[in-house]
Order: sequence, then structure tokens, then C-alpha cells
Amino acid sequence: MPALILLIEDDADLAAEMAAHLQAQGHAVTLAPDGPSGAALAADPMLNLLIVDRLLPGLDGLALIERLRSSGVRTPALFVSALGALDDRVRGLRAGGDDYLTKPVALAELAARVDALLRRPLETRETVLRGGPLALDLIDRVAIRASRRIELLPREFKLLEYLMRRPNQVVTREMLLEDVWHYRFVPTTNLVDVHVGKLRRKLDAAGEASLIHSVRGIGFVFRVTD
Amino acid sequence: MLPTEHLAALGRSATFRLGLRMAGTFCVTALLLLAFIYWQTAVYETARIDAFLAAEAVEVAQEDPLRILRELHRRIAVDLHRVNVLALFDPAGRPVEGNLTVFPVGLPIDGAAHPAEAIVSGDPGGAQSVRAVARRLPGGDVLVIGRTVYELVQLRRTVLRALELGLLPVAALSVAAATLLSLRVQDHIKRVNAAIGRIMQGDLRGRIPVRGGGDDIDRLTESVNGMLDEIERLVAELRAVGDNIAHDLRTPLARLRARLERALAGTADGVALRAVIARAILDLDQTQAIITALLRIAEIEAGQRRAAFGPVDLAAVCAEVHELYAPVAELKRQQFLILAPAPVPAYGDADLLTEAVANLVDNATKFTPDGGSVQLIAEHGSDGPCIRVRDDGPGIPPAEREAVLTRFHRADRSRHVPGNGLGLSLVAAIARLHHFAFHLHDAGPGCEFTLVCAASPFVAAAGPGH
Repeated sequence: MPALILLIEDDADLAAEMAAHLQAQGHAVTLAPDGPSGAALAADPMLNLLIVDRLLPGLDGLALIERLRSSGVRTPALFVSALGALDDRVRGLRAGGDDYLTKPVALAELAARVDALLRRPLETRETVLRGGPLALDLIDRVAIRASRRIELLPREFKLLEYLMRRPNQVVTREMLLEDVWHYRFVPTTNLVDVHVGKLRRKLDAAGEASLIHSVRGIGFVFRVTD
Repeated sequence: MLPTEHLAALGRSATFRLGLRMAGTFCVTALLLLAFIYWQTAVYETARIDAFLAAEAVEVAQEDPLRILRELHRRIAVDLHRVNVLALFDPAGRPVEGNLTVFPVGLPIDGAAHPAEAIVSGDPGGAQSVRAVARRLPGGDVLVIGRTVYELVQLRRTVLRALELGLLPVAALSVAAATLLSLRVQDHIKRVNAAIGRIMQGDLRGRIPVRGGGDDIDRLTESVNGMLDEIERLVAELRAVGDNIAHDLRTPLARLRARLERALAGTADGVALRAVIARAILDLDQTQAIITALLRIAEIEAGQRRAAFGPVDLAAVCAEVHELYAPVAELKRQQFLILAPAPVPAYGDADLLTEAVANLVDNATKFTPDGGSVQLIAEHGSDGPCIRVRDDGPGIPPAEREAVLTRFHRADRSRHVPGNGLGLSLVAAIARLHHFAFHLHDAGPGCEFTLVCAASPFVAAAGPGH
């Protein structure tokens, strides 16, 4: 899903690398090197996404987004900042940011977050989420595959629901920790992999194709391959 | 300093100004009081004299003309102090009898007392202020009866004298006391200012001198000194964090640099180089994890995170961590038991306590060999509500128990296990923030970490209902 992205970042080298990576994903990226020029461009209604550094020359990234929001611009905004304390994060989201990443950011993480902000998770009025051979009953909280009923623990259900609402979209370990477990700390053990692995073993009977794929070094994707 | 500068400094001194203001207030009050007394007495005295004069005039006027002349004569003769004015003028205004040669200018002839200026014959003092009554007699003559107001003059003199004797010395004393006091205070303030100056120039160990009298300034000084203690402690902590970052990032960075350097100098092909790059990124991620963990510890130790404190159920905290780590233990075929059958209420930050317990369990599952067991317990211990994490792993030798709680310590036998050595110091920081005790015991075999979540005086003070 190609998008028009405005990247406001004062470090020219970093901005160039980020822009190149996003362009390789098919997005069009406009660069702004400081707060005032970013603010001038950010009100453009054609933009699909803003990526904003927190500490910018001329105008702080927080103030920039606050100003945009108060003038009614609702374009999704992703903060990318060296300030990584919990308070900084909370401040960024309160100012009107939609997501917050701490530098240094893996480019794959950046791309996944951009993707997540550009696509909305699947909303359905139905009580069953479907993905290929798998159905997730949102009322009974069980998964059904090839008429097999698969009982899920509460967290496994949340994890699967999160993945199935984002089909073909790369979901990173950090996104899962934040959104499924609501943890604000990153455990040293590869906890997320262990949980996803366990869920995968429950869903895939012998000989069945896996529906949750690992994306090396990044995270996971729910994909139905025929 | 020049004397004029001294004076200027004195004028700016708050104590001196206060002293002057108090002296001024006292003087004005005394002045008002005396003025009131004078005014009230004068009014009363004048009214008394006026009534007396009017009555006298009526009485004298009733006599026949001859007796009036005789009466005037007699009265003047007995008036040794020359306080009375007594005179009779004919209808043309010429003096007939008495001690006035000229009719007082402007005195109305109406039988009532009025102020007037009179020249009493035989008195060298010239015109003097009197109260006088002029009354026309049936024959057309005018009778003047008056009296000098020397009592009032006397009263005014007494009041002024009281001012002179009482007020001036008080005012002078006040100024002197204010000067002395403010000089003393200025002296102390000069020392305080000098101390603050030294502190501002970077001597964070400096403190403001206390005079020792236990007065309000001393109490203020003690508070400021307490604040300086806290600032010094925080700065020292910040410095320690900086040192740690500098020290402990250099090792992985050095490793990374060496790897890249060797790859550049060598003759490796594209595939091998890609492997080196992938490894380098992993190394960078590890250094980043160290920075994140250090900053997180610093954030917690800064002690500003108590906003999220509230009632917490330790059993629920344990249940959550158990759910999180059960699959990990399962993979290692470890027996992971939770013993938290009933709620264990405590007071703290639920998220931080979860993080602390997660770190302890993370540690336990990591260091316990495959097939071992880990127990997570929430209970009411003898010291209060507590959480225990017990494992039957290799344990920690007594000599190392103190060290494992410090930053970056990794027991020698754990070198092969991934981690940054910061997990336990993070738990220790969270325990300190809560004023909870954090112990490590031998569980023979293995070890047991205990977090005693007893309400400290601080927590009680910050808790609900206070």
C-alpha cells in the first residue's frame, strides 16, 4: 500500500537511510530538515503519514504535532526519538502522536510500524474472524481449523486475534509486547517467540501449512498460502 | 566598603526596614494618642470656661451700674495671676472701667463666649488669646468678661514635652536596635551568600552555615541543606550512570570494532561479509539493550515514578508473570509452579512489580538447567506480604551474593547464558523505589530471591487515606 510520507528529521544521513528504506517498500517520501519547514509541509491533505523526530531545530516535534492537531490535521504521526523514557513516550502520544519509536530504530521495525499506521486492523461485524482454513470464534474464544476445535488460553486468543486482524502485515515482537501484553519493558528472553511458537504448534496439525510465519530478525506475519 | 555604601546596604536590609517600620508605627500611634488626649482635654476645658464666663456675665449684668463698676474693680484687685479680663465700655466703645483699653476686635456682643485677642493693661506681653463674653447692659454699656486660656497653653506644652522626652529617645533607640540587628543578620546572610556562591560554582559538597540558635533562619537553612544533600545524591547517581554507560558500552563496542576491522582487512567473500554485518547488527542491538536497561534503572532510581502507586495484589502479579513464563519453562522441561492461592494485598506500582518479578523468573528459568524446577510464591511472610522466586539451579556462592545485586555482575559460571547482567540491579532499583526489602538466600540446592513488600513509613504516608 504505497503512501505519501513526510519525514521530518534533522540528521541528513539518517533521514536519507530511512527514506531509502521506505521508498524500497513503495512509499513516496518527502524530507524536511527542521521544525518550521516540516510544519509548513505537514498540513498538506495529500499526506498519508508523518514521521517526526522529537528534538528538531526551530520547532520541537511535540509542539509541531500539537499545533497540527489543534488546527484539525488528523494525519497519522509516528514519533522517532532519542528520548526513550516512559514519560517521553507518554508525552508523545498525548501530544497527538499515534505511535512512538526510540532511536536507534531497526529499519524493519520502522517499516512495520509505518505499515501498521497506514492500514487499519480488520473490523468485522461478524462474530468469527476468518483467515484461510482458520476461523476464530470471537464469542466462544476458540479457533477452528479443518473442523478441529482448538482451545486457547486467554493470552493465546488475544495474540491470534491480533495477528488475524492484520493479515499479510508484518508484526514485530515489540508491537506484540506493547499491544498484546501491554508491557512497557522488553524481557531479555525471547518470550514472544516462545509464545508464538506454542500458538503455532496448537494451530498446525501434522502436515498442515503454517499460518503464522516468522520474518527473520523482525517478527511475524499471519499469511495464508495456497 | 565606603561608609555611604554601608548606609545604602543598611537601607536595603529587610531587618533594618522592618525595625524602622515598627519604630515609625509606634511613634505615629503615640503621637495620635497624645493628640487625642490634648484635643479631648482642650474641648472639655474650653466648654467649661465658656459656660463659666457666660454665667458670670449674666450674674454681673444683673447688678445696678454702680455695683458693676465696684464688682469689676474688686475682681481685678483679687486677680493676682492676671488671668481674668474684665471691662466695661460705653455705647461709643470707649473704656469706662476694667483692665482693657480697647474693645477686642471682632468679638460679637451676644452674651456667648468666643475666642478673641485682648490687650490687658499693665501686662507687658501684648495681645493674648482669651475666651471672652461681651454683653450689652440695659443702659447701652457693654460688659466684657474673659479669661486667658493659659491652662490650654500649659497642656500643649506638657504634651510636646512628653513627645520630646518619650518619643524621640524611643525612635532613636529603635533605629539603633534595627541597625544592630540588621548588621548581625547581614553578616550571617553574607556568609550564607558566600556559601551559596561556592555551591553554585560547582562545590556540591558545600553546605550553608547554621548559627545554632534553632531560630527560623536556622530551620530554613537546615531545609536548604537537606535539599542540597538530595541534589548531591542525585548528581552522584547520574554520574555513576554515566560512568557505567561509558565503561560497559566500551567492551561490546570494542568487540564490534575488532570484528569489523578484521573483516575489512581480510579476504572474506560476499557471503562471509554479510555474516559479519549480521553479527555486527546483533552486537549493536546488545549495546542498545544495555543503554535501554541502564536508562530504565536510572529512571526508576530517580524516584519520580510513584504516581502509579496503588493497591496491588501480589498473587495477581505472580499469576501474570507465571502465564508469561510458563511456555519458556515448558520448552526447557522445567517444572514451573505457582503457589499463590489467596490474594496478598500490598501497596505499590503493579507494572513495576510485574517487571521485577518477571526479571527474577527470567533469571531463574535461565540459570536452572533443563528438567529443574522453579517456584513462584506470593504469601504473607513473617515480615509482611512477600514474593519468593525459588529455583533448584546451581545457586549463588555466598561470596558472590552481595555482588549479584550490583550492576553488570555476572557470575563466572553464567558466561554462556545470554543477558546483560542488569536484571537483578533493576529489581533492586524497583525494590528501593518501593522501600521494599530484597534478599537472596541459599535454597540448598539453588537460591531464593525474596521481595518483602511490607508497607514502609513512606508508603504509608503516600498511601490512600492520607
